[in-house]
Amino acid sequence: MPGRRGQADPAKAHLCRRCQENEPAVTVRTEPLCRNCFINYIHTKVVKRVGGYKFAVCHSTAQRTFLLPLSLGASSLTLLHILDGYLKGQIERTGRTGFALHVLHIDTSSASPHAPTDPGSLLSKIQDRYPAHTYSSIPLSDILSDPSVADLISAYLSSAPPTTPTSTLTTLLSALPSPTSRADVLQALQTKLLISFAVRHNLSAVLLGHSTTTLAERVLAETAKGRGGSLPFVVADGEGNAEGNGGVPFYYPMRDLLRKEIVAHAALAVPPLTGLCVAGTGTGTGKEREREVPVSMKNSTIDGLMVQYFEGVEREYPSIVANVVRTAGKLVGEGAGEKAVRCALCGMVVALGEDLHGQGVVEGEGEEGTGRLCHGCKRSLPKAV
Amino acid sequence: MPPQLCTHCKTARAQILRPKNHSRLCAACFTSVFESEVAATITSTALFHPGERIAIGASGGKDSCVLASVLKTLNDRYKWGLDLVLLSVDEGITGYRDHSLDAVRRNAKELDLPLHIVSYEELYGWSMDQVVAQIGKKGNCTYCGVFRRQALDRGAARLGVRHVVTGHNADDVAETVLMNLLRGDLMRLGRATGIVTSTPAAAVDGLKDADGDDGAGAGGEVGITNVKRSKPLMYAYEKEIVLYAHHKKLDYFSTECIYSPEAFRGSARTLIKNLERIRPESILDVVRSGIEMARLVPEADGGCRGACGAKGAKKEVIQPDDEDEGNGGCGTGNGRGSGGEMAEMERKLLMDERAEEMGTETEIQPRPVQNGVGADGVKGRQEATPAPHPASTTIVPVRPKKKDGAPRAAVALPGKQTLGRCERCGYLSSQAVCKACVLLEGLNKSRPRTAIAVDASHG
Repeated sequence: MPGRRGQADPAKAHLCRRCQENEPAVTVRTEPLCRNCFINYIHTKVVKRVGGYKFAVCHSTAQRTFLLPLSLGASSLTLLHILDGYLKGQIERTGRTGFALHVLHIDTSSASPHAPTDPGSLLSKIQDRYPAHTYSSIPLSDILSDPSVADLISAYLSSAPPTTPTSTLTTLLSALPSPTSRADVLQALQTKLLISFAVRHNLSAVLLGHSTTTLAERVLAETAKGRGGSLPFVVADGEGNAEGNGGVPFYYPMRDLLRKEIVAHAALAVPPLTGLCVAGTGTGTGKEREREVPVSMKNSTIDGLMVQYFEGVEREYPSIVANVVRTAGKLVGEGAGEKAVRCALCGMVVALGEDLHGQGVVEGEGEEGTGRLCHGCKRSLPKAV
Repeated sequence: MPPQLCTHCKTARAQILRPKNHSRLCAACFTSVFESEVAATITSTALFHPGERIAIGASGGKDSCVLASVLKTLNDRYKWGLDLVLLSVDEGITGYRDHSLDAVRRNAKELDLPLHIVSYEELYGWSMDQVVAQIGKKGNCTYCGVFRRQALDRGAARLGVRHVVTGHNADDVAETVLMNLLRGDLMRLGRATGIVTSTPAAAVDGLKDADGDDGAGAGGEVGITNVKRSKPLMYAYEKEIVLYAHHKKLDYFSTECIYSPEAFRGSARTLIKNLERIRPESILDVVRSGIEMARLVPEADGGCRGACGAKGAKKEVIQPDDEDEGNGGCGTGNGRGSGGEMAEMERKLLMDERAEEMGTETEIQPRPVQNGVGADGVKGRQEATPAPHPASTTIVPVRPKKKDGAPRAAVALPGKQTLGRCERCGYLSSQAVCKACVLLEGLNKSRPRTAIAVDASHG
């Protein structure tokens, strides 16, 4: 939402609503804006958020480094683009930065059909354009070296344990009951890998490119997967979600923007960001590519359905997208005690003894669940104990 | 390939694939499993007490038809000793309700249960057909929803019944959970998943001892404010309800109401149906999420709001929802307004946002602006929803002008909703005059004076 609005001058009604000088390039919510004002709007929204984070200001103590996961989609790249400019600005003003960035790409090509085909060349192009940061790229199968994940998977694939991490991952994913389960487990494993990478490299927080739209999708998707109790952590920004993420806070500096705005910005930025993120629509993150509607409902996922749903809502009723996130944010997370059992996959507290009055108990489920997985993860990994 | 056998009896051929757990059952096992699951819901929540008189809200549709049949069966089988009656509301919609009421009559005969019908016409002096003739097709669902809620309570009170059961199923509840997330209605989100949703208003009576005439009288007379609502089928899939009705050869009426549906519910319904196609279990998962979320609604008390029933839940939670929160039989929900609902909310939210930005820029407004955001949009829809909101975020609602400066009958419960009685008809309301009376006043204005003969308070 553009902030300053000049007095409406009927003669300039066709011009950018803010500067009233240039031809509008894009309509933000109800306001036509020119390219410069739009870029300014995007940057301001993110910088305002970042400025509110305590860590962002310069400290005299040792500089902290944050993890910026790069999916090679428009959102995470835009975040890198804006933060790069933000840090440059800090150097110009004060001679130093409040924080440094460690950019990480998780290669999911062995596990997901949505993974970018040639991540290496894109990554090097990005590194050339934003050289001030540290870059890493690791395969998703690295998460299998985490003992808790290894345990979980060996319990699931008890019969014939595959040999290489990559084949273990592929075997696991193909053994899952549905595309929804695969997408869900894939996402949980990526999050686990981010956390373990952050801990290993002493990175004190994770900065993600989630838009309002992404968060709204997650609110409804987690609701549909039976994880309603985790919503306060899903939408919390920073310290509020650290508890569920192994003590590493996840920040969402782009949470005040809609996805369509981020996508529009990628094309309008100078020089454009479109050449640096995944090809196709030129704007595709994993989420965006899920838009391609599968032929059969059987092959679609809950996450994909929510992406499609909010694409429509975003177009017609953008404020309702933000309202979903705001509503979920009003829920008050239950502080888990020390003794709380946490789900081995998603890290949320497992509600013990839960049962929908004899309705939720399904043959083979519930009885044998010892509480290592939460209800939602049990759905996705049904055979795991 | 030999036919698959029922996983339950292992003898008959499996005919049914259950959406909730993919088990394959034969028709006989399915009906018995379905019944025992409803029985489990009822006993684990201690929903009824022996000898209780229960009114089954019967619309003639599949849900209430199955509910009546299952309750009758279980009551006979387990000797619960419940005194069951069918209670129908006649909205007066020609071509819809008249036919569905015929179905209810046939049901009553079949099940050998007494049937009582209350009509909008006799309660309010207006049938829905007359309301539509007056105000048009747009927004008439508001009237229907508000009127229905009271009508069921008034009908129950007349019958001396304190407990009305309705046929809301898991799909309806899941839909309501998503709908309330979409429209940002936190208070309803907190209530949507309670198996007991309405007010056994003992708490109110306790607070307002002085005018206990309307509450539970000593002589066992039942006041309209003392009728509780519950939904024993809230964990049953709509699909299974249809299957049950089919296999039991129940006679139900399946046309939807001829007047318009509401946008948010429609949107949520489409989403639920798509979710079910992707992963059938997700309907119950949404219900489960709803129960978890209800626990997280600020100032929610009683934890699961009755969802965990007997297990130490507070029973007397005041839950005044002056509207039905599901489809009380019309199949389209309690529609508030027509398709413009989402667009209207969008407009409100946008204005809030703008107000916030202007506020922070000029720094003139003393009031912290964040307060108004979010919930504001909901409150802004005042015409349609006089939703009770926590006192801490109250913003003065736009209320229709009151002619008489009568003192407000509302009782403030600190930190909770403001609950009182309508000063005209005595119905539970968070406003001085309940929504039904306000709507009626509007309707009656346009009628010649002589026509205002039916007094709503004598319902």
